[in-house]
Amino acid sequence: MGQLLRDLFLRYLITVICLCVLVGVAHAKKPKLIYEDDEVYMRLIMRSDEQLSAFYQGREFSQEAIREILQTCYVTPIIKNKKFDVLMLDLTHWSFYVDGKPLPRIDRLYWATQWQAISMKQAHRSTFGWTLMPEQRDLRFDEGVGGAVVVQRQSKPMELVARFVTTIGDKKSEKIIRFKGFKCE
Amino acid sequence: MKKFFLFLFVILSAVSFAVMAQSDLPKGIMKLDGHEAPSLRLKNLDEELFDINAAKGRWLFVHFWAAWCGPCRREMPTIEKIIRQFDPKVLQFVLVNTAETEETVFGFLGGVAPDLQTYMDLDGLVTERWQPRGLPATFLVDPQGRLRYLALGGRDWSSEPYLKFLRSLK
Repeated sequence: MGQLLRDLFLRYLITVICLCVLVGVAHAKKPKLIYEDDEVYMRLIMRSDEQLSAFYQGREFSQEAIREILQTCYVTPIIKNKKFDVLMLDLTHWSFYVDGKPLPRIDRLYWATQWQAISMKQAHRSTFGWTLMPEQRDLRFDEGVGGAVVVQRQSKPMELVARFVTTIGDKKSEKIIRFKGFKCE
Repeated sequence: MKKFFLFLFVILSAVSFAVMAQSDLPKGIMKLDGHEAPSLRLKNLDEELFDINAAKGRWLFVHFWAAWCGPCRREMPTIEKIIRQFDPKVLQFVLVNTAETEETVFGFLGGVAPDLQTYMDLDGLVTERWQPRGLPATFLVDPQGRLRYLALGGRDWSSEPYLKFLRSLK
C-alpha cells in the first residue's frame, strides 16, 4: 500500500513538473507585445476567433458577417501619446511583414464592400466601424486610441513597423515602433 | 508714450488671460473652434424627443457612448453622480447611445447607472455626423449652439477639476 502511494505521488509530481515546464516554454515563446518608453505606450492585443465571435454575436451580428470577420486577422493596438504635442497616427505609414514580405492591410473600403454584399444593417456597420482603428488621428498629449487593424489571415509570425510623425512645438520628427513574432490566434 | 504702454498692457493682459484660460482646462479637455454643432434629433427610451435646435440658451453636455466600450462602463456612473448637481436650464446632459438596441441599453444602464436616461442613435448615423474621436466622447455645446470643448476619452466627471470646469460654464 505504501509503495503504491509512493508510486502515485511520484507520477503526480512528474506530471506537475512536466506541465510547469510546458507552460513555461509556451510563455517564453510568446513575444512581448508591449512597447513603452517616456514618449509612447503601445500594446498589441491578438484576439482569438472565440473572442471575436463572442463579441460580435453579443452585438447580434449575423453568422454571415461573423464568418467574414473570421476570415481575416485582427491586430488590436492600444496607443498612448505620453510626451508629444501631437503623435500622428496614419495607418498608411504602417507596414506588416511575413517572412520579410509585405502583408497588405485590409482597409475600410474592403469592409464597406463586404457589408454591402450581405446587406448588413446600418447599426451593425456603424458599430463595426467604431471597433476599427481610425485611419488617421492626431493624438494630443496624453490622448490614447485603440481599435482593430485588420490584415489577411495567415499562420506565420508577423512583423509590424509602425511609423508616427511626432511634433513638439515647431519640431517634427519620426518615431518608429516595431513588433516581431506575433501571430493570428 | 503712456497710451502705448496702456495699449501694451491691455494686449499682454488679454494674451495671458487667453493662455491661462486654455491651460486652466482639466486634463483631456480640448478647446474647439466654435463651429456650429451638427443636428441632433433623437428619441430616448421613453420616446421623448430631443432636438438640439430647440435647446439653445443653455450649455449642452453631449455624450456619445456604447455598452461594448470599456471606458464608457467606467465613466457612466460618474456622470450619474453629478447630473443632479446641475440645473438643466443651465447645463443639460444629453447622452447618446451609438447604434445599439433598446434591450442592450436597458440592460447596460440598469446595471451600471440606473438613474440615467439616454437618447438612441439606432442606426449610428447621428454619431457619425458628429465625428467624435472615438467612444466615449463628450462635446460641450455653448448656449448659441456652437461646439466649444471636446473631452477626449473617459474620465471621472465627479472629480473636482471636472466639476469645477462644468460649473464654470455659464
